[in-house]
Amino acid sequence: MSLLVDIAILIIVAIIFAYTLRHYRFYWDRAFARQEDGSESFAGAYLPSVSIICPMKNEERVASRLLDCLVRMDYPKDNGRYEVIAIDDNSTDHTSEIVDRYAAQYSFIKAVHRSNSKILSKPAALNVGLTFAHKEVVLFFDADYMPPRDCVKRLVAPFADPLVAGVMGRVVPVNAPDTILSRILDLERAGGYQVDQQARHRIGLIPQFGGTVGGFRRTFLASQNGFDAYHLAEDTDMTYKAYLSGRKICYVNTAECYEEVVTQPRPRGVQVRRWGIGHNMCMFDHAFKTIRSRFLPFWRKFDGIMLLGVYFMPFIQMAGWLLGIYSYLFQPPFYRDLLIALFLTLSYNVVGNLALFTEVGASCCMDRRNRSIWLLPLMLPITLYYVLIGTRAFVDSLILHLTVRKRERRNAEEEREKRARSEIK
Amino acid sequence: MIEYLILLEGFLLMFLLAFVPGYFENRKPKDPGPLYIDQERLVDPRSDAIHLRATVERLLKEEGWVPVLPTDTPKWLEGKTVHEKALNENKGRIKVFRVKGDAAVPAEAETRSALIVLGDLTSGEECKFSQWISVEGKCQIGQANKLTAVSSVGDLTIGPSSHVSGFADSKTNVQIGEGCVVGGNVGSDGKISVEGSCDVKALSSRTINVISRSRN
Repeated sequence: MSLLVDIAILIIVAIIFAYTLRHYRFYWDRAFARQEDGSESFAGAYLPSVSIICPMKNEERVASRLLDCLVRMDYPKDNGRYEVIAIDDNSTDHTSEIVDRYAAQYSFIKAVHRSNSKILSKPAALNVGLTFAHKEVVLFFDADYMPPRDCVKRLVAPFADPLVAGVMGRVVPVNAPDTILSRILDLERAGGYQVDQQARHRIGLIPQFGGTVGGFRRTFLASQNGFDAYHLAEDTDMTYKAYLSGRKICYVNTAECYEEVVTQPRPRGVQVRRWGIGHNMCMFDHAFKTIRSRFLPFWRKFDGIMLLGVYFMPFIQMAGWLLGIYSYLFQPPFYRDLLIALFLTLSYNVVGNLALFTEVGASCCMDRRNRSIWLLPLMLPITLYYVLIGTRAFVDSLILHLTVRKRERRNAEEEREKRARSEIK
Repeated sequence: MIEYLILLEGFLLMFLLAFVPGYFENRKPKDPGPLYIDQERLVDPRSDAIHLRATVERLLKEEGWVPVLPTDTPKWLEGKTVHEKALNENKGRIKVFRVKGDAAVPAEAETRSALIVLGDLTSGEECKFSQWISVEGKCQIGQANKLTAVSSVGDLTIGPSSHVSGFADSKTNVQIGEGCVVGGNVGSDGKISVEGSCDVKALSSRTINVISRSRN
């Protein structure tokens, strides 16, 4: 028993150490390497036709703000090269009226209304939007976002490269000063985008499409039959589908866009749990495919696996703590103290799902917000909260994977076989 | 037992101390609210120059400029009022010199710091500037100079056979001499005159005058 516990702790320490190295690698690259981006020179020069899909569910407070931003967007709106598809997704407030008003006023805005829908999910709404989108590139903006006037031009520039399937811009919280939680989320976003995503993009690893302030080539989305309507992390799912089919995602750090972040711990917990379940589903779906992929070089595979595991880390963390306590109390081996010290040190550097501390500190310096670094220790309680939520999300996703999704998959296979048999007849 | 209590107390004190600065920053934030994004920003071929001007403007307003030590002052700046400040950029930390009044760089001089000249700047032949230059007045770059990037408010003249790896931008007129290479955008609010033998990545101005000289 003692040996098993020791081996388990060693494996956990090794995994956390690997994540620590990964984050330091990103920090090092972002802080000291020359940041050149070829796509930047195409901004404003390459202007494909664009469809912008905006799903809105009970968003009367912010709907007109987003639509105003999209109306004022600096992009050629002549010859049908620019269209906005505003989806009123089963709203019960005045969102539908706002959407209709803008559609009546501007010829490039289409209003799409979903009501009494069977599947009430964001990807389902996006799929409805996709049926109306006919342009070369499809971008997505959530209702609480405020894209600046140059955002679309910067986002479409990487599509000049035919291998690029999707893009992602930088998200910046607009309501950072509201509460201590929103300030900390602002730090998380800064580290996650300014350092993590940018480094992954520059090193040639796997930058991730985040579901909004970004988009895909329409032909690619069509080849994948749109988004999985039941998926809780349709963005990560589509990112991996792009890489596994030999294409890539570009991150554009200069395509910045304001968003509103949650300001209270409870909704944040719900958000993280949802993302965690969705992300873990992606891990179950794509981990082996990533390892076996013939399109991905070794380091991209390695990073791909680690990226898939970010919401598995809280579980690993929790397991490490519990085993550490057990080992300390009941099975003290001679190197116990060293292991626990190593574990705690590594945990401090990378806990759970985010590139914390080092990356956040570096991003604060790059954004010239040096005083915000003082808030870094306050991330510790939030991180502990994430470990609890993430552990629960992992257990939930595992149960979901072994029950509902297994059944769904079996049904789908039976359906396929039935169809094949009937075709043979 | 008492030793353990003292240790625990020490640990708790150190642990809690880490939160104190954050508490004060949260109560009275000194960093501005959300990260600033200019909602009116457009994709502009001159965006690098615009960004540099905004950086220089911000730097000039900031405190923390210290006089340059005599040992660090280049010879050609002796007798001038020169201050320095560190600037953190995406590409790392650079040193910026601020020169009050006009400056004349002698031939073959090498300047490793970024330069803000609050008057006119003139450089001799074969000078080398390892960082960007920002000039509030006129800027006259001599023959066969090597520059990273240059921005001026007054007229900008770049001497023949000079090499600019980045952009060259002026709020008034720009004149690029024979055989120059500019790796970035050449921009001007006024007129750009460029010799036909130059190798320039892009030009952006309302009036562009390309001068072709006969070889005779």
